[in-house]
Amino acid sequence: MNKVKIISKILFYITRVLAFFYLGTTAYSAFSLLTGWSLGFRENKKYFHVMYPFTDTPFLNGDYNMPYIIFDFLLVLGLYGLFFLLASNIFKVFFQPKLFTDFGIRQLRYFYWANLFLPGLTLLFASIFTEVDDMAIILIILHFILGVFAYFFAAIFKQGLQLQKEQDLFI
Amino acid sequence: MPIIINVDVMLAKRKMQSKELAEKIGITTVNLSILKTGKAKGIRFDTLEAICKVLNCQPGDVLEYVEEG
Repeated sequence: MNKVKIISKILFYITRVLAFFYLGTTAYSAFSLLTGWSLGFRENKKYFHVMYPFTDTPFLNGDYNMPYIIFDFLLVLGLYGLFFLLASNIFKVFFQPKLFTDFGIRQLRYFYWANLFLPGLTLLFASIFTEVDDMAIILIILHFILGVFAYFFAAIFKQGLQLQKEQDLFI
Repeated sequence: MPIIINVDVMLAKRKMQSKELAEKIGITTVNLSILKTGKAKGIRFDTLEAICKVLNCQPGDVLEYVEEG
């Protein structure tokens, strides 16, 4: 169990950093695209570059049209920020003094709901405005499978919590 | 439950307070309260042993079987 706690703590910090990086990048890109600050273009505004702050070095590139910016750029960055944030909360559960808690079940629930339905619904909505590539469909299937696993994990945690509560009544 | 915990009776006989017993047997007052009020699912042998040792009594003095009507 000690090994699990160490690994989960490491993964918690990695995913938490990634979450803040993705969410920060989303906010920074949105600000840049809205205000034009730190934003560059090429080929007669066909493509854009979001530059590293206070530099002229490109950081992120994309097609300069609204459907691409919203559905293939900002939404993807934001959703992966959310994914890493929820994943970090799952890892947090594994280094707490008690493994089976209401907090853990709640985090697993958020995680499986987000993985089961959010990518699919987003893709469905995005397909109205932009072309969907095969890679996105593969990713949605992978997230769905991850969501199914998390759903079963949540069921195990629910049972575990019940057993733990009973065990706590053995004095 | 047909098993009655008579810790309160023994505590009164020994003129001891719940808090003191909890401290001596190494459980929290909350857990002792759960035990006394019959909310516990079970009692561990080492807890029973500690109670008997501190209260200088036998398990039968602490546990009683009463048939349910």
